[in-house]
Amino acid sequence: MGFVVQKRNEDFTDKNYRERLNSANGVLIFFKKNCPACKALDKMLEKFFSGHPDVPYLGIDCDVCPGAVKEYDIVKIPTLVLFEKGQVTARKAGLMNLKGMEAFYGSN
Amino acid sequence: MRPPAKSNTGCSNESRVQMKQIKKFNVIILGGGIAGMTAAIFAARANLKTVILEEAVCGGLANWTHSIENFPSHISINGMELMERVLSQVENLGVEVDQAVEIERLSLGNELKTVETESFTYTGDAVILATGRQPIRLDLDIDSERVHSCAVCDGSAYIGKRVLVVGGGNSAFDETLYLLSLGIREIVIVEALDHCCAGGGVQKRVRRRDNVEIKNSTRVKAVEQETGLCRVTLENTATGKIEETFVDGVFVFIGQRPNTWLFSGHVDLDPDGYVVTSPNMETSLSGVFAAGDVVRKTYRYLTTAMADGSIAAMRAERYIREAREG
Repeated sequence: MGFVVQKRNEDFTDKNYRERLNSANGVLIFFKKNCPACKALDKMLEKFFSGHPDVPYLGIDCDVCPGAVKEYDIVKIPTLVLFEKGQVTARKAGLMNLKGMEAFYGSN
Repeated sequence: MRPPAKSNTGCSNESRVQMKQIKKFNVIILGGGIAGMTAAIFAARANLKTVILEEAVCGGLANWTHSIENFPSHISINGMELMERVLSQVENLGVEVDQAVEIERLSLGNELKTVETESFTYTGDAVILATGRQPIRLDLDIDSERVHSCAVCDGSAYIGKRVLVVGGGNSAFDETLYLLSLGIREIVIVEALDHCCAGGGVQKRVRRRDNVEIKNSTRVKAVEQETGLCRVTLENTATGKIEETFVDGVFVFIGQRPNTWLFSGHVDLDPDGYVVTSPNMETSLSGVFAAGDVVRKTYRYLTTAMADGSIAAMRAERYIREAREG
């Protein structure tokens, strides 16, 4: 499509996620590499972040960070979590389209 | 997603159309599953400028299949991996692929077809409908994170726990086996009919497990989320008897329905919502073809969808060529 995609920072482990999220801002996705819904959501998020290039995009691989999955009580993936200064301001599980994402992000 | 405004006669909001960049193609393919991607391969190789518009991500339902074992050339292959290979072939042929698009408006009745998304207006000489099917969800007023439709995605959250599987078809039994392989402690399968429709082989493998209970003539009446658990109300469809059970999660595999709300009122659909086509994949509208699971037919496999896509593209090429020749 030609737009610049915000690169997802997914350099998380169970050892560092608490420290990394302590002051986090932006959108965090809990995903798995073999999850088709995650792939579909990620494609939509490419478009979302092309319109929000300054919003940090973070990703936690549930297979890499089971501790984080447990702490955040993630039972459905993909789950999006919005962070502001390290605080969770909203979360939503499952697929959504670009309009839904804009509304979700805009209302929090 | 809301259904788009219908504009079969091309009398859509012209001012809005003109504000968007117009992209011109010979063939517009709606849907990037195996039928749409195969149609794109054939259309591109016929030197037709082709675009695929996909609501989510290319690959369709095959992406959700853990292992495919009836696809010639592969003894067993992961569905997402196979679809990524096909997409790579499509893109290598110069097909434009726009994924995660929302189609807002269609005009299929005129010689020049138009499809309007949130960003562009696409025009084409021919359109191929290949939007496939989507899983049917429980008809309940619930938005719970503990109700799922993908065992591969969410099954591991329930290792050592008790889950409910809704449905008695092949998908439900296949996914039950997958969940058991993960280490789910106990599974209850409920099927509204008085028997399960899954194939004999997979049923036998599930039924010999002593941690699986199968309840026929049983439907889910309600699901309520409580702290860390789901309270599920079950109704016996024969006797009307109500019972409650607590599970950690619910997985729903109760079949699929065609993604044809986009075309309702544009092309002829059968009573179940599938697109009616000729043997050459022609719909009731000139220059509009259909392929894959969205079509009314008996057998729905990757291979039959590929055949549909091939025929639809070749017929579209012939339609465009004859129109040019007058």
